[in-house]
Amino acid sequence: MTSLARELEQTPAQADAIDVDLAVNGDTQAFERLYRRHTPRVNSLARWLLSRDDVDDVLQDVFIRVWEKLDTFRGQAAFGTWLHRLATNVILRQRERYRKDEKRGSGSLLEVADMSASPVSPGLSIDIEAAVDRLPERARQVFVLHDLEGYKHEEIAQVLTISVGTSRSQLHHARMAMRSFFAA
Amino acid sequence: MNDKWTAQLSAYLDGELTADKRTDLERHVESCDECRTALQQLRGVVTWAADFEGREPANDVWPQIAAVIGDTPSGVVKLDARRRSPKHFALSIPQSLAAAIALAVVGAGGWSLARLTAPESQMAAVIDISAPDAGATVMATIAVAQKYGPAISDLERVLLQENGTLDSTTVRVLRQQLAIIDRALTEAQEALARDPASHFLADHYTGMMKKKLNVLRQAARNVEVSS
Repeated sequence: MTSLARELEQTPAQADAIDVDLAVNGDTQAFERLYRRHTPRVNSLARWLLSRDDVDDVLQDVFIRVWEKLDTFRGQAAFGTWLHRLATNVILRQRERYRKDEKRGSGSLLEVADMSASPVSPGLSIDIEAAVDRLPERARQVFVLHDLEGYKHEEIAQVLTISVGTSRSQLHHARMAMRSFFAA
Repeated sequence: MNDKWTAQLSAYLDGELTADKRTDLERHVESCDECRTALQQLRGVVTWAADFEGREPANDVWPQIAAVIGDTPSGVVKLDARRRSPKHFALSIPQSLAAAIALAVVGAGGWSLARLTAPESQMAAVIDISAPDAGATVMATIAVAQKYGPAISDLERVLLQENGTLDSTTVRVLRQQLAIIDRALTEAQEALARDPASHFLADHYTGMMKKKLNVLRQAARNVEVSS
């Protein structure tokens, strides 16, 4: 069987497992494949949790951490789950730094994307993404952490320093705000 | 549909209702079109989120990552180098040169070549950094220089060519501002050389680069208006 045929038969999780093994042994091309496979979701995660479009620095930071910690991945969960947990931690730490910068008035607010732009029309996936953009910041963060990343309300309450009840109600508001995009 | 029921729909989907409340809600949903519609739509939201694959970033940052992890033409990094990476950040001579050149384009605020390489040595240039994320911070700073450096150089060239267009007071204020920013950039670089893992210093350096770019852009706009 050719390597292409083998590749076509692999599920993304199987491809991840193979590339993780290779990357742990120093294969940077395998690591690049992991990067290509997972960057889109990490990019969206960073944009939504940080409320900004310019997340290049954070993406670099995430994948450099992944490379550094790859040999601690034991395969007890899917690689994607492990990576997204690590990415979320890096992003949330960066969020704290941005918040401190904003308190100091050192400019990062200038780069915050304008999420309140023109209204979106239902029907396309990109419109649903725009709808997530337009959610109030807190509701968006709770929605992303809970529904995209699988965090529990107790964990969200801890990382966002809000109550569990607030996390639940923000999630409900976020979902209700987005439901018009989905036909019954 | 009323708030009593809608407030419970998300919790129902997440399996967080008690058995009694779950039964009550299911009974209500059977008889309420609006709640049934809302529940199906909410289920759509949850499914979309779980299946969402993300959006490609505007810029491909792999080259910067590859530079940090020591990507080689063969695509294989020596094992000992990989295992060292949390504590030791190593750049090969070509990588160090590329990084240094990228920094040099920043102009007055740029890093000197000597800071990243030891040209008198023919041995591999290795920056030993004890902090765990020092490599990431240094490379992030290099990426900032790569990002803003060319624009800053272009604007400086434009302003040099159009020097006579601005009045002398504006030129004096502009020079003073740029001198202050350049001093801050130099200090930030020197501080980063001593404390490469400092995110505060890296952020400060980034902020100063952006400020310099903004000042130059403002000056260039004034040139356009005046000419």
